[in-house]
Amino acid sequence: MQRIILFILSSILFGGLYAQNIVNDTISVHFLNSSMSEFVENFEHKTGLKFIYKEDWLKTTSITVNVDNVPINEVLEKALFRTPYTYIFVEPNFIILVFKESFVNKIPFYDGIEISYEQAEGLGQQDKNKYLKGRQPDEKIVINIGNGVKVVNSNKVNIQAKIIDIENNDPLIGATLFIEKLKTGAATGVDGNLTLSLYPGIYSAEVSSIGMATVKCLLNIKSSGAFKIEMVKEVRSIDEVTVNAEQKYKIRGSEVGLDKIAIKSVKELPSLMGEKDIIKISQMLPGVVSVSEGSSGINVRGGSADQNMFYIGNIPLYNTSHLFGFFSAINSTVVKNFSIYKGHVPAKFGGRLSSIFDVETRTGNKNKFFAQGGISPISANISAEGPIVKDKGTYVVSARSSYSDWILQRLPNDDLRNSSVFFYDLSGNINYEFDENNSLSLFNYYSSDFFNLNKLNEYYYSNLGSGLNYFHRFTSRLKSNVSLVYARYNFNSKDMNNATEAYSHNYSLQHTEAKASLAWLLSDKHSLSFGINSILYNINRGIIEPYGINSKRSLNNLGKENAIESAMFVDDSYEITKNLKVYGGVRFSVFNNIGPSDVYLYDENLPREYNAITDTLSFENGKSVVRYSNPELRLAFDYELSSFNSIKFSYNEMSQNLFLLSNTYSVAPTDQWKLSDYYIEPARSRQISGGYYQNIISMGLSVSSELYYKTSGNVLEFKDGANFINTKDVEIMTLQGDQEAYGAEFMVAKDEGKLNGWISYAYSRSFMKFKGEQPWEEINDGIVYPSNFDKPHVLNVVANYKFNRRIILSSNLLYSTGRPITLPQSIYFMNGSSYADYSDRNEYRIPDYFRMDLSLTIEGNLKANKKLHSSWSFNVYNLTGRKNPYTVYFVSQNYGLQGYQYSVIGVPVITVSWNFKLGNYAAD
Amino acid sequence: MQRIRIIFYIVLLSIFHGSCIDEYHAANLNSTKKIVVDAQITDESENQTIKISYSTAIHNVVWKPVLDANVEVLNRDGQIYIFEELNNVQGVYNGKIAEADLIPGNAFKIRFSTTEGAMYESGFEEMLACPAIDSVYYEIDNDRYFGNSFEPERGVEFFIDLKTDDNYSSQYRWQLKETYEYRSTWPIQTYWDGRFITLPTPDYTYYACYRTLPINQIFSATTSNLDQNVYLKYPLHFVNNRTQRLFYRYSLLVKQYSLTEQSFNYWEKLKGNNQNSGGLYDSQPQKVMGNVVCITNPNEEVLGYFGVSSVSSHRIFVTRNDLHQKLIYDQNLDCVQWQPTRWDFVTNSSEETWPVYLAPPPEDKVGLWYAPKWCIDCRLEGGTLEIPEFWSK
Repeated sequence: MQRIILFILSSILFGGLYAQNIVNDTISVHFLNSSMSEFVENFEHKTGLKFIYKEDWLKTTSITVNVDNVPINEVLEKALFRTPYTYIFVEPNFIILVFKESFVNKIPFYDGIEISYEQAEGLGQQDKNKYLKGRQPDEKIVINIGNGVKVVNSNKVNIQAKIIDIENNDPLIGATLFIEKLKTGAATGVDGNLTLSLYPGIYSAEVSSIGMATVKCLLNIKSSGAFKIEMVKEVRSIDEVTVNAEQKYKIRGSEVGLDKIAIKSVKELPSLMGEKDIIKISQMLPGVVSVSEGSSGINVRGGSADQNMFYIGNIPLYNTSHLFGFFSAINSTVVKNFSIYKGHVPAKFGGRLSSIFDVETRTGNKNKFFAQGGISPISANISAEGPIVKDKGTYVVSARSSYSDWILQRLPNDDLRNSSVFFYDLSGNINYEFDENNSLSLFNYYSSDFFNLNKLNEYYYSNLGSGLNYFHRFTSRLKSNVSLVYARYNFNSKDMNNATEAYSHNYSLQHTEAKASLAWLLSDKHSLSFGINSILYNINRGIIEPYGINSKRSLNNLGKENAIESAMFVDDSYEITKNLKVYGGVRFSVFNNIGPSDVYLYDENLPREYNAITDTLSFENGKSVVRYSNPELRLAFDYELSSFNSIKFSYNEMSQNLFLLSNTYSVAPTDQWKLSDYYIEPARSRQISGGYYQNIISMGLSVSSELYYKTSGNVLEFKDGANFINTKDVEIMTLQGDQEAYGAEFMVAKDEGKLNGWISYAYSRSFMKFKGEQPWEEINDGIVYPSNFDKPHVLNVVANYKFNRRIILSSNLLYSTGRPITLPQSIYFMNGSSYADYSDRNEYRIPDYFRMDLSLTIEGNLKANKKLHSSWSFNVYNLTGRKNPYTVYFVSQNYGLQGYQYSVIGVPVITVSWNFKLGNYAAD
Repeated sequence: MQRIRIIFYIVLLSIFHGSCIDEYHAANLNSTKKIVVDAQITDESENQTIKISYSTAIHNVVWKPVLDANVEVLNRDGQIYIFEELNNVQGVYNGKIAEADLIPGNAFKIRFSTTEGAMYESGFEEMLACPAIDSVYYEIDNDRYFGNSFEPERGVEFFIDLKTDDNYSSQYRWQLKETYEYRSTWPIQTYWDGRFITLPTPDYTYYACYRTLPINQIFSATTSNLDQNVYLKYPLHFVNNRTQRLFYRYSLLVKQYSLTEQSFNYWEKLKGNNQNSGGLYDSQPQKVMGNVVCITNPNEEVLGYFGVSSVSSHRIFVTRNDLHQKLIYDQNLDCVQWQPTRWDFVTNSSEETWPVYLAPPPEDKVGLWYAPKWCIDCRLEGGTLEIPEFWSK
């Protein structure tokens, strides 16, 4: 026995064992939960190798491995990874299976020493770093934790690992450490830390994270302690197919209705004019639609566009669109990854009925200066980052600006030369780590849009935000976060169509927020977090002022609004058994609309009009006008049927005190946010959802299906003919009613391999109902009607094909049922002209939407030592040139009615964009 | 708004190079037949006309009159004016309202029943005083863009000024009627009448015509958002130089109606549906119901509006001399003659089509030349030879 161990040791330490022998031959094997003996038999047959093992070992072990053309040694590693065994190759053709534990115990450990294999393939030492390496042979790091003297064998000790990206020392979120022997593990939180409770001993552990090379290590735990694991970006070799049950990149499944996307995984997707846009990408996921191509605002699970909260960093964005909504105000170069909560929402989030978009921003590189940028036909962007103080502080700054004005100025049309379309955005992120337990970050954001249509209409709007966040760790089990956030959204619109009526309107919304939270890990199985937050809203709805010397417009002050919304929340998650995890959360918020304010009282027997006013209530400065409290319950259950499949349920309650006043199809830059007030009550929703998630290992697929049913009450809708500029009192022009939505969402994702991507299909419906006691309190006579964004069938396909690391072909395919529309049903004559009699609201549909896009990304060479790496991206948007109607409208003619459909992009749009970055292909 | 939409579209077009507008044909619409009331009681004369019809299917647009209805108009004092259906035009009912009754402050309502026994009624609609039209004028615009075209249109934009005070309504609607002179390309010189006849001197009988057309657009405005009851430079319609309208003499008659708030809202909604729909930031089309309801079946929807208004009118003229040198006439609207290879379509033509006019030969050419009949007979373009009585120079 001793001899064998020595043999193994020398092999591990000095490599050479695998050099240029049979185990480097490649084979293809496919097993899903097969028995060990089946695997051995098949393997022996294919390779001519002979296995040596103890017969009864194999009875209880199952093997899952699915590879094509992979070296035998790798196949064996993968096959045995989930087993307690490892193997030794002995010339000429023997594979000896041994217990992993049987030898690791005997290795003499030294703190922090790296023991690695050297791959002695053809390349000499010098050449090795010239080209970027593919996957490296496994390295096993030995990590000693704690002080051996203090070992108390009978008690568990706490270990804490910080997992970081070696390149920029960024904490890796969602990285997992898994201890195979105990079938247990933990995942890192936002700070990159994870905690585990273990008995002292030696464990073989695997650390994995999205996009990172898996780290295998041995933990030699002597007592409680902390350690750091650095991970390296994984650059995959061309023909590798990864195998095991641990999905490296899983969009769905961790919680019901949560989609998580790393920006890197979608960066090659085709886009309009080469502008990467995470909001457009989110529409490729099931349950997210928009009214029409290029309209700003999205609709999540049958909810209106104002029911989504967008956080960039922790700054709320009140207008997410650039250029009428064709692009998003979220510059994709500052995005690290983003999550969309649309089913179960943790109690720490609230304030919107439908979804929370949480965009996590990039933090700077800790070690060196790095810059990247790109040029597309519509805009250019650049970002730079680097350390401020080595290993302590970092910064990232980025900027993007359009140059569409330049295009307009060159067209032979005066109307266009008099027009202007321009946008830009800026962001900056500073992070400072005082020590392991204290860190501070500051994120700033600004975006702005300006457009002027032939000096007849002018719109300007901007988002400004700043968020300061302080993190402090009390102990390895108790952490805290304190944040201060300020956000401002304002717009100015000028309407100069008729000089007499010309006006200018300034609007502004300020959001000032303070929040604090504590996360407490009570035990391995039980975690609790709780916190409070308070938001002060100051809205100035602005004054409609005459514009120009000829304007006779009378001043109309739409008034100011102030409110404080405070909330407290508790999130509690508990693992009842190994398979069953429950989550319970409660959020309690109090919304207080405060004066000064004048509230009209109306005669209840009459429609709310100015002539029905009976009295006025005056509220002084600082006095509460109305107070609403919203308790919300959030529950979730997660039952793991096996390591490959699980079912989950959730019950979710949300409330909303902010509404977007819109009487148009899509969100317009003149739409005003309005607070709940004396008349407008908070909207509330309830959603039940459930899902089944399955990983099909043999095919590398993850399959998910989710069902949901959601009802919302007090949703705000405008009455026919509402005008939010002329009438300041919103209760006169709006009604509150019900929204009902249900659907089934399916998704199949393949995130590895040459061909990867996803297919999603959703069947979903969304309805509105405004039924009141009086006819004037109704819309559509109180009859249920489909919402503007009710699109029952939506099918999206995203496919990437990597020819090699330098050439990637991507395609999107989108199909959806046409959106509902109100159409003329008959014609009638009046005054010598014909007019259309329109149907009930949204009774018909515009033609179905279909679009296919392609993009080809060609990366520069893969030399390791280069100053600048660049890539070209060729995009074809709407490859088939289908004329998808953007709007359908009718024009009265002398005798009858002519319908027109307008397609914004009715031909294939081909664009080329160029991106660059400092460093080589793998730099980030 | 129409214009803004167009500009918006071209902006997008030029950014994306791929926008297009196509005809849209909706299929399979379930149309229901609804009663339509088209009535405007005015103080212009005692004779009043009310049209009652049914709405018609969108793909088969026909006038469907409501026959033999009993139609009455009542004033506030309960006086009833009976309206009778015209003998020669179905669905059109005429009646007389005493001039003394047609004064601001009075109010009227309509009541009618169909032969099926359904009864309809409107609410009272007040006659509001209408101030005189302050002024109607025009501006020459040589750079007007319509559609997604880079070719500008040249023409004339008309405007109206409203200047009044708080004694008058603050809602108005304007109805426009245009009259213009136009000419055929050639006078009669040669024609086929069983034989070819050439006149010694050209005959100008069918050379100059006059045509009157309503402008079927809704023009309405309110001064309720303005600080005075004054609205300056309200844009009316645009006349381009692509027809002969501005070649000789053009006249525009503007009638100003004072509206109640309810009827203004009605016209605004109609305007929204018919002229604003489709734009990105436009509001959605909606059902527009007027002030007439069905008494026998309250669920029945009734279209149209029973309007009451006092009227003032104003006419202006635009002659070519006014526009000369300022408006660019870049259009040649004249016919072009040609020489057919065979003449038997003329010589064998049936007698009903006679005379078949021939065109004069182009300069430096001789022989028989042909052009369509409307190039010689202006009446075929829809106008009349009769000079309108207001056409005095």
